[in-house]
Amino acid sequence: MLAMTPVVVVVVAIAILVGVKLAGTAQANKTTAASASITRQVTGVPLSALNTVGAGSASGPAATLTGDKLTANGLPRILYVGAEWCPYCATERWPLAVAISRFGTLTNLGETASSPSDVYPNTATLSFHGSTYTSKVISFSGIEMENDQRQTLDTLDSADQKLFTTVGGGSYPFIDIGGVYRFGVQYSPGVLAGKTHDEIAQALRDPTSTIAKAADGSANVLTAAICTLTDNKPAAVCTSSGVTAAAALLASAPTATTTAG
Amino acid sequence: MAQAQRSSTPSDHRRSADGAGEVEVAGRSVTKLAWVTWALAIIGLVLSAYLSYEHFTGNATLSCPATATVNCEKVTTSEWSEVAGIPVAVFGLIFYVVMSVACLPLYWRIRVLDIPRVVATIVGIGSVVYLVWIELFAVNAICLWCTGVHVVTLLLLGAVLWLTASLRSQDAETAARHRPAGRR
Repeated sequence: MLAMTPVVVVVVAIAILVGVKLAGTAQANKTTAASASITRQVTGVPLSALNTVGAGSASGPAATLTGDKLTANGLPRILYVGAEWCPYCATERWPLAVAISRFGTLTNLGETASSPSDVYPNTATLSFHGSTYTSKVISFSGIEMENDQRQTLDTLDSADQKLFTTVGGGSYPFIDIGGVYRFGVQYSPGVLAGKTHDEIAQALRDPTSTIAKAADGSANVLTAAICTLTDNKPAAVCTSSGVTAAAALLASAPTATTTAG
Repeated sequence: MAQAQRSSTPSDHRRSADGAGEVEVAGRSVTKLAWVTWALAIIGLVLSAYLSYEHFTGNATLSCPATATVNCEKVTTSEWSEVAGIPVAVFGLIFYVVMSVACLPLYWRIRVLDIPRVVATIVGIGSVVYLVWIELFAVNAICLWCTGVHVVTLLLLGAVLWLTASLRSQDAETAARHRPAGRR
């Protein structure tokens, strides 16, 4: 039996490795599938709330782009690049999810929170990792490069990597609206501080809330940017009072020339 | 087991060159466990050959689920899949070519192969532990085919150690029986 000692040592060593990994994963992996309630509220913010908010407290695009248009399968393409640990991405996912849901169907969203050791720690947010999106007027790619432990999640193809680097400067979050507008952060993550997913999702429906003014306002600006690519389709969305009010912010962005795309 | 073992005879043994009375075993009986070690080595050889083939063909026919936890392609194309430009799968293939020869039942009769065989399996299992660590903490994915190789290597280690200890014990007993009375 003494001869079996090395086998026992190896089995114990591998068991320890797996145990440490599982313990680390359990601690690290905060991302779960978004509840049906969260998904329903985020993808179905009432038009009345969005119209009341208008641009709210949101900022406009970070830049107007003049390079090649970003398309996929003949449709204008929205590219989001972020990371689950990133607090500013945590902020921007809410309005982005609200905005693109007005043009199609967003499913398989995740729920997560930003890094506990970064600024605006544990900001409740969504995750686009593993999400799916279908639309007749736009295409959407939601890329979460890293999880909250900064481990690789999704990867960019070479063209998107070039866009992310040259147009986005390699910074999270990077949102390219069809090669026409680049968005970064539209409101402070502090707006969401201490709020749960449920509280944020419910606040989106209340146009008087600080969260709605920031997130719904940002969603209206994003929607207005997308409408410039879809020939204002669907009309019910693109001609709504909230979107037309928010469209005024589009002109405020500085122009940047892109070479990728 | 018993029928596979034959009684040792004086012709199976010879005195060591130093004449100190220590008896060295020149031949041993082939046991079922020897066949098991050879079978394990062959299984490891097949798995390693498959992984090597997939490496050189760009995983063209690699059959493996791609989930967040299990992803053979992520593992076999990672930066850790090669050492000094040589695919890890090829190291595995070389290891199992050597082991499939060293574990031939006939070669279990050769006592001088005992230590090299044990050392080889320990080196092999050391590599397995290292590669498991890489999968879990660097690549963050598990390769099922690689895990198959790892399990076979662990079983091979157990079988080689057990059989080596068993044969060495039998050698000692046989040597004691055939030692001249004056030496006892």
